[in-house]
Amino acid sequence: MLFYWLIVSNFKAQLGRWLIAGLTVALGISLAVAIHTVNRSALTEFSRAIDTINGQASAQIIMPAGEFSDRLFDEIALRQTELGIRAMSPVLERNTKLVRILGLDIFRAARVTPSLIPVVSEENQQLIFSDKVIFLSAVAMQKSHVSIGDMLPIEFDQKISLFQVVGTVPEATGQNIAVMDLGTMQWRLDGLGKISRIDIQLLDGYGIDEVSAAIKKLDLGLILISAQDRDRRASNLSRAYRINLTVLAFVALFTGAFLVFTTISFSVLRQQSQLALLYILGVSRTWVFLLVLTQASVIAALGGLLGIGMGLIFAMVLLNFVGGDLGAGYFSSVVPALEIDPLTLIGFWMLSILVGLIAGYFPAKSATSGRPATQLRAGSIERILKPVSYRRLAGVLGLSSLGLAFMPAMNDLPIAGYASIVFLLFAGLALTPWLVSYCFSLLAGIFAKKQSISPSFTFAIWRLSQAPENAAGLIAGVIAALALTVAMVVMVASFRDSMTTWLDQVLPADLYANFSQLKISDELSTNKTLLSDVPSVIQSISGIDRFEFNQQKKILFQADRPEVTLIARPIPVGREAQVLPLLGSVTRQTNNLPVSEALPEVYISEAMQDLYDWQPGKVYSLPALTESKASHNVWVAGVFRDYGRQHGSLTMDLVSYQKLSQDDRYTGIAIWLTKEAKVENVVNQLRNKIPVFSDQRFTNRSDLRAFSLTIFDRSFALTYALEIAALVVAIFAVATGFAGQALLREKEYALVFHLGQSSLQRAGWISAESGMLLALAVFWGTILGLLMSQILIHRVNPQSFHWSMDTSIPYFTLIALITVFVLSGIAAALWGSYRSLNRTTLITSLRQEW
Amino acid sequence: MALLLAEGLGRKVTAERWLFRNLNIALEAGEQLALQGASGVGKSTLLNLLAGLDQPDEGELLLEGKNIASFNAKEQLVLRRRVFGFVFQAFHLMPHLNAIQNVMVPCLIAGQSLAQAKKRSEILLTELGLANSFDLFPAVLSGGEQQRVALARALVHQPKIVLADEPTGNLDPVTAELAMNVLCNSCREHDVALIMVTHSDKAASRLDRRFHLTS
Repeated sequence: MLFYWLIVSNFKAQLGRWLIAGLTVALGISLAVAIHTVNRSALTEFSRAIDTINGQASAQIIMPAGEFSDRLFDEIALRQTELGIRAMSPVLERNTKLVRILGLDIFRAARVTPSLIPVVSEENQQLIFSDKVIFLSAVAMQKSHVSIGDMLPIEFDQKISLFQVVGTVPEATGQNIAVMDLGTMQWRLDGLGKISRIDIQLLDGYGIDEVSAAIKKLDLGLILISAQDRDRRASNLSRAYRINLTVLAFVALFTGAFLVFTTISFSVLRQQSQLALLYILGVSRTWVFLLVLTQASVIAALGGLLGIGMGLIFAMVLLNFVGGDLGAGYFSSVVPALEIDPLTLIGFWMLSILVGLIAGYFPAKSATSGRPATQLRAGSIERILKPVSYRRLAGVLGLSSLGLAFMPAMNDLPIAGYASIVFLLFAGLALTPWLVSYCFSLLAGIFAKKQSISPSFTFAIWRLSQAPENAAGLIAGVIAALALTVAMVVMVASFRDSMTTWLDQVLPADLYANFSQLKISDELSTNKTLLSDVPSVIQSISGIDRFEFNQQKKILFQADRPEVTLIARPIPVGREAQVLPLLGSVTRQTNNLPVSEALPEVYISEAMQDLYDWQPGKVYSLPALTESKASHNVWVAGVFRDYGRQHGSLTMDLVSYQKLSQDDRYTGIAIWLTKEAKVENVVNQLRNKIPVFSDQRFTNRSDLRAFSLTIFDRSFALTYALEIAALVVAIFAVATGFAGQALLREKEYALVFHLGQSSLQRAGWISAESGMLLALAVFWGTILGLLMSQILIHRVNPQSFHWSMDTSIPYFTLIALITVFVLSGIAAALWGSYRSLNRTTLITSLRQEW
Repeated sequence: MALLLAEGLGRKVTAERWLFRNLNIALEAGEQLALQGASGVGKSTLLNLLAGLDQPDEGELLLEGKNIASFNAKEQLVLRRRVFGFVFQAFHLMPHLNAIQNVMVPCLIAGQSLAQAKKRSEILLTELGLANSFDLFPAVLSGGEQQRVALARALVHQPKIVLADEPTGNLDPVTAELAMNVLCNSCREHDVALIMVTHSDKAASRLDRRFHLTS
């Protein structure tokens, strides 16, 4: 009962500070819960969407480079049993603005993916194989505002085709999909002779690996991917991004832990004589230890519960207003429902309790380590703050941090990099008491000789130089929060600057167009007259200096990883560095090699090095680009920076690509204008003179650049929000820290009040003390933050996103941040102190002896 | 004219109940007065009133003829900085400051330079037998030494009146006797009046006058 009384009375006595401590834990937990829940919801929904589209197929056969000829289906079908396939169903996919359409061979699909089988309404039974009908899922009907019997206009390839809705896809719940006959789709939606994939069911006794190896052996350029591969690929898509965000959430939690630590430390100091008395009255040290630990864990547990609730609300808000990708653009087409995982939530709650236990451990230890008799004496509070030196520990932690910084990624994640940051932070914090003592002793020495300094400043210097442990405890949370914020600010600024430079390099032309519609590229390639005409027409347009066509293609290198982008564009020999943002020099093939024997050269992004271990100066095998060849050997001639594709990209000369792939279609064009040309005029001429460009969208360089930077800022919006949260928590830490200090030092303030100190002088004293302390905290936090930023820039980012960047320090932002921080910190300190001290307190706190 | 004159001083505990009423005290410069009474009779309240830290409910408190109750906040500050010195039962030394720094505090608050404050503090500490303890922190000083540092702090800014609350209450009889000697002698040497709250008749008997406060 005594245990309960003491806990409750202590909470009541310092309700405000306990509330703030609990709220900071809640804030950290809520951010972590929100990010986790949003990601889980998005991934579940994404996976559900893929499952629906794929039916219940055990695996799929695809061509890494995209669609392939339905002739290959026949070849597989011939060897079906020997390959270990029980049933197979060809599928063609088309994404339209309105709905995602799957073309199926209904009879085959019934055996492989029954959940995709449409149900035709009774009155339309005779129309099931008509080439003018379509089946819609319930969501698709709702979104398209049609019902059975209505005509649905489908726009694809700039051409509108009308289909009658004659039935539904009942098992495609929650998904916006449509199904139609494969033949109809190939004919009417520009897919003659093509399929996107083959869904298969395996024969009993056959495993995925076995069938996969058998298919590979056919040497048709086809590969097998399993359902697990697909899920992993979806997860890999955003893994690094969400892990980074989760780490940021833990930053807020970590800062919150410091606040709990500070609150509990002060609480223990205030209760020191009470606890000593209890010990003398017969309670054990363990009892006192558990009492302190319980206080800490109770407040953290309550904060954790609140945080989980707040996090779920926050997640709902994010899902509805930002999206499942948290603004990063990974799953933008998916609108997920909140997916709650009770086990993980319990995990987060346990984490909050752990935070409380860690935060309470040291104060609890301190409460039970002193001599009770000494602690009962008046003025013992300061005595228990024994001088401590963690310099050796700081050295060990610092060296460990350095070692970890140079370790490679683990499971594609920068675990060692993050550990290095944590170790560096703890090294910095361990060094803080010594630093405070050293700096302020130095300052005290300097000012000891000066005669004309204010008493407030003198008192502040005396206090800081002669009671550094207390001061170090006060600023530990501030240093942690500021260091992590500075690190993030520098990293984001460096990333943004590097990206801006990169954009200038990769967007040298004035106008760009992407031919997302195949029609244009097909017409350009199939209509020879047009093909030969278009370049000369473009060149004849006044205002155009020159232009380049290009081709982009997605290639699946590894079943469980997102696709790699292959970019084919003119790369003139000798001018590679001018057209590509190369990192390092070009590695040529052996000089004496005849041109005919030389391998096609490719340039790889940094992600290719990290993810697939491709290195310059070596030969690698590119997955099949045509159906006639299983793979192509290529020479890696260099590495280029690519901030646009974190999952990897390759660039090769357009002519080389066309030779390899026999694909002379284009997916984009870059146009350079003459100096005097006006963009609008040129675009109008392009649209008027070239029919296939009549509706083509052209984007000028500055718009494209601005758009890219907007996406960048949007994807870092949450990072900024988390940084602000960490700083707000740190300011809270300052306010509660100084409020706690004021309570602890009540007699000190009361004494100087009796000795004639005015409130203005006291304000000066607190401002000087908090200002100097915060200045040191800011200085030290910034140094640590800059060091951490280097780990983030050179280790964590390359290991997470597979791109490098150059450091650039945003001086203005940092100075503004530091100034705001110090000023708000001083204000918080004054507020915290004055909230705890009033005239009555100052008069009566010495009264117990009168 | 009395240095400090209390006329018809009264203070209420509640709206109806008086803690004390019709209290008249006159303190001459350099005079030493013992304030005695049972616990709860209002000794601490009276000390607060005399120091200008609290307001009486009736009567006047005149310092050199001026009514303290009419003092504004700034004048009250001057009272604490120049007129009064305080000695507490628990000494109330700042634990993070060494002996000389503790003594220098009132001088610095009053606006003296570091050099002036230091010089005056050194003289006083030497007078009180602590010449070798300037740099020592309270934690390593004995109770008697701490009380002498507290006394030096009460005298360093040359106040007119020292208000001492049970200054020997935390000390053993021998040390208490020594501390009383130092307190009384120092006040006399510096011509400072002393009002001392004490439960000890022996200590009270050393002073010029005794004042018994009864409920």
